[in-house]
Amino acid sequence: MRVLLAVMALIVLPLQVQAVTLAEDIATTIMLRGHPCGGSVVSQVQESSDAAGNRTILATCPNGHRYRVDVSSDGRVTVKRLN
Amino acid sequence: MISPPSQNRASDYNHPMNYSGRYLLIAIGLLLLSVVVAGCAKQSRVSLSSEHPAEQKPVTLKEGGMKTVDLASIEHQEERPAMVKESSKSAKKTEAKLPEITMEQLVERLKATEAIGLFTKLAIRSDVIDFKKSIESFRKRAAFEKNAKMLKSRFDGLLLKILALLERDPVLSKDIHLARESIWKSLVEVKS
Repeated sequence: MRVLLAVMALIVLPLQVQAVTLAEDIATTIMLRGHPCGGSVVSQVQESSDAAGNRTILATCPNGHRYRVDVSSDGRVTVKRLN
Repeated sequence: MISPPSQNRASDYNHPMNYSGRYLLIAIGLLLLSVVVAGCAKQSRVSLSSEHPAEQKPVTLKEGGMKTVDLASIEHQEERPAMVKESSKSAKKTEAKLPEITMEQLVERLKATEAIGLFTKLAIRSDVIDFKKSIESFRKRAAFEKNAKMLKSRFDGLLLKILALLERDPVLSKDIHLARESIWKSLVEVKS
């Protein structure tokens, strides 16, 4: 019975939409802005925000490049390479 | 001494290893069946879509809304023979059965999907806003017609990006792909 349930789960699981993680999301954003990242997951993520609602995210790509992702209060996203 | 065959079979049947073996066989059978069914469905869809390219065309806009397409009803349509010509009445009936989806609904579905993260969604939003602004600026300079081809290729690139990002949400990806011409028309139509 357990085997049957496991097989059914294997069939059903791929049909569900998998949520992306923050690290994947930031890596995708960096690549969308045309910067090389060398992978789909970033590391060493640091988030900060100011009083005006602007957010800044610092992250390191698998290729060693460190990026700064700025999200303005009106939702504009810009990416800058730091090293 | 060897026990009689009937007793032997009964003892084998009660053996726990044989139970799990049977379940394993049933599970493998189910898995194979599902793989075969999925493969057949995919193959028939591909072959039918190549036979009837006209049926892949997205539905045009009506009264500001965007008609899109119920996948089940499309598949049902594709099952019909290619050479059968339907009367206009029955075609209208089929068209009426298709559920309508507006641009707003599509945007809401993009907002709601978990296949794309928040920052990626914001980046796409910025791209779409920039693209809309460039269309407006071309229109103001009366240069839209001249640059329509370039704008369309930019639009195709943007849509391709979105479809690539929606890899984990194939249903939404397919809906957007089917409605791509309607989305383009809704972007370029002049709003009074």
